[in-house]
Amino acid sequence: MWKILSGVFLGWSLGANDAANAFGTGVATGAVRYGTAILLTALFVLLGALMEGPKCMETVGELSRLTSTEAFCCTLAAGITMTLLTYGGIPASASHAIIGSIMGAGVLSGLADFSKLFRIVSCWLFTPVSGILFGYALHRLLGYILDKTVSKIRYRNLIYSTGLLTAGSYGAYCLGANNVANVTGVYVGSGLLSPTVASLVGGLSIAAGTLTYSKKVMLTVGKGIVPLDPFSALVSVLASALTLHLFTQVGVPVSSSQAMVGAVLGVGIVGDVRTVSLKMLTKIGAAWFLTPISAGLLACVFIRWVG
Amino acid sequence: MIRFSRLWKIYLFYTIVVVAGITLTGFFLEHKLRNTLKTHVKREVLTLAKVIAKAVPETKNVHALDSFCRDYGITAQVRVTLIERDGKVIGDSETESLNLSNHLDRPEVQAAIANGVGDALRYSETLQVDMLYVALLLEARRRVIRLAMPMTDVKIIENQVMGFFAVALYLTPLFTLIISLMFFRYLKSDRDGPP
Repeated sequence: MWKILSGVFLGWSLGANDAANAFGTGVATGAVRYGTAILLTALFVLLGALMEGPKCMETVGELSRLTSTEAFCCTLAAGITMTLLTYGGIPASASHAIIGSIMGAGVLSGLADFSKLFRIVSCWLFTPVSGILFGYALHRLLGYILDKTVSKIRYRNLIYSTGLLTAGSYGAYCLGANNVANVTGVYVGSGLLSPTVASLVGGLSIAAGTLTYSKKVMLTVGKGIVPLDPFSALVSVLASALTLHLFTQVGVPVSSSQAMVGAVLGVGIVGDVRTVSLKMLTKIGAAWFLTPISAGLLACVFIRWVG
Repeated sequence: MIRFSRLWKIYLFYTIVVVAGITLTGFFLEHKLRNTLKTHVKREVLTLAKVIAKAVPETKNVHALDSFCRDYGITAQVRVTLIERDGKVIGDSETESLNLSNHLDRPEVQAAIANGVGDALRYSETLQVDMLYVALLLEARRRVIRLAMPMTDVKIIENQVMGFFAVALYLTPLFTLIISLMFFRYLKSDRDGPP
C-alpha cells in the first residue's frame, strides 16, 4: 500500500495549486474569507470525488495497463514534474502530467492505447474553448437578468457574495469530481485500489493540500492574474466549473486552470476588461508542451531505474 | 470589448478550425478503421474455420479432439474449440476440454446455432487484448467449431494511426501559431507596401 504515497503527494500538490481556481477570485475580491474558502473547498472537493470521481478513473486506468510499481512511478513522476514546473512559475496541469507519465510508461511497455490518448488530447484542446463559450454566454445571460431584476447596488453585492460562495463550492465539487482520477486513477487501472477507495484517498489528499498549502497560490491567482470585478469573478468560476463538469460526464480529466483561463477570456470578450496577459498565455503555452513530455520522460527513467 | 490584436484573432481562428477538423477526422477515421479491420479479420477467421471444419475427425473421443484442436491451433495461430449443440465442450486447443464449462451461453455460439455463423468481440484479461470469436455450425455433425483470434494486429495498426493523430492534435497550437505569424507578416507587408 506504500505505493499510493506518491499519489497522495500528487493529490496534495494538486489541492495546493488548483484550489485557487474555485475561490481565488472570491478571496481576491474580498467577497469570501480565506478560512471559509479553504474549508468549503476541502469539503466539496471530497464530495465531488466520492460522488462522481470514478467517471474519469476508467479513462485513466485504460490508457495503459500498468503494474502497481509502474503506477507508483507514474504518480511520482507527475508529482515531481508538477512541483518543479510550478516552482519555475509555469502553471503545470496535473491532468497533463499524469497522462504524460502514463503514456511514457505505456510506450515503454508497448501497452499504450493511442485511441484513448486522441480522445483525451481533443478534450484538452476543447477545455479553454468550452470555458470561453460558457464564460461569454453566462456573462450575457446573467448580466441581462440582473439588469432587468435587481437595480439596488446593496442587493447586487449580496447576490455577488452569495453567488461567489455557491459557485466556488460548485467549482470545488467539479474539481474533485474531475481531477481525483489524476491522483488515484492509475491505482484503479493497476488493480491496487477499488474506484470508491481511490476516490476517498484522492479526495482526502486534495483536501489536505487545500487546507495546508493553498494560501499563497490562492492570493496570487486571485489578485495577480485575473483582476476582475465581483460579477465577472462569479461568472468565471461558474463557467470553469461547468466546463469541468461537462468533461467529467465525458469521462476525461482536464486542466482546471485552462478551464478558468478560457472562462476569463470569455468574460473578457463581453466586458470591457483586459484579462489574460500575453506573458500569462506564453506560460500556459510552455506548460502545454513541457508538462506531459517531462512527466513522460521522468516516468520512463523511474520505471527503468526501479525495473 | 476585449482588445484582441489581429495576430491573436488570426491565431484563434486557425486553431479552432484546425483542431475541429483534426478531431472530427480522427474520430471518423478511428470508427471506420476499427470496423474495416474487424470485418477483414472476421472474414479471414471464418475462412480458416471452414478449412479446419473439413478436417475435424468423426470421433467423440475428447482426448483425440483436444489433440486435433491443439495441432490446428498452433499451425493457424488461433484458439480452436469444438462444441456440441447443447454447449458441451468436446475439444479445445488451450485447455483440457473436460475442465471447461458449458459454452451455450456464449453469444457467438448462440448466434451460430441460430444462424449458422456467429461472432463476438470480448476483452481477454489473460492476454490483455480484445479477442474476436467466430463460431461456425457444422450441420452434418451437430457441432460448432469456434475460433478465437487476438486483435493484436488490429490494435497495432489502430495505435499507429491514432498515435499520429494524437500527436498532430497536440502540436496544433504550435503549428497554427507559426502559420498565423507568417500570415500576419504577409498581411503587414502587403498593407505597408514596398519600401
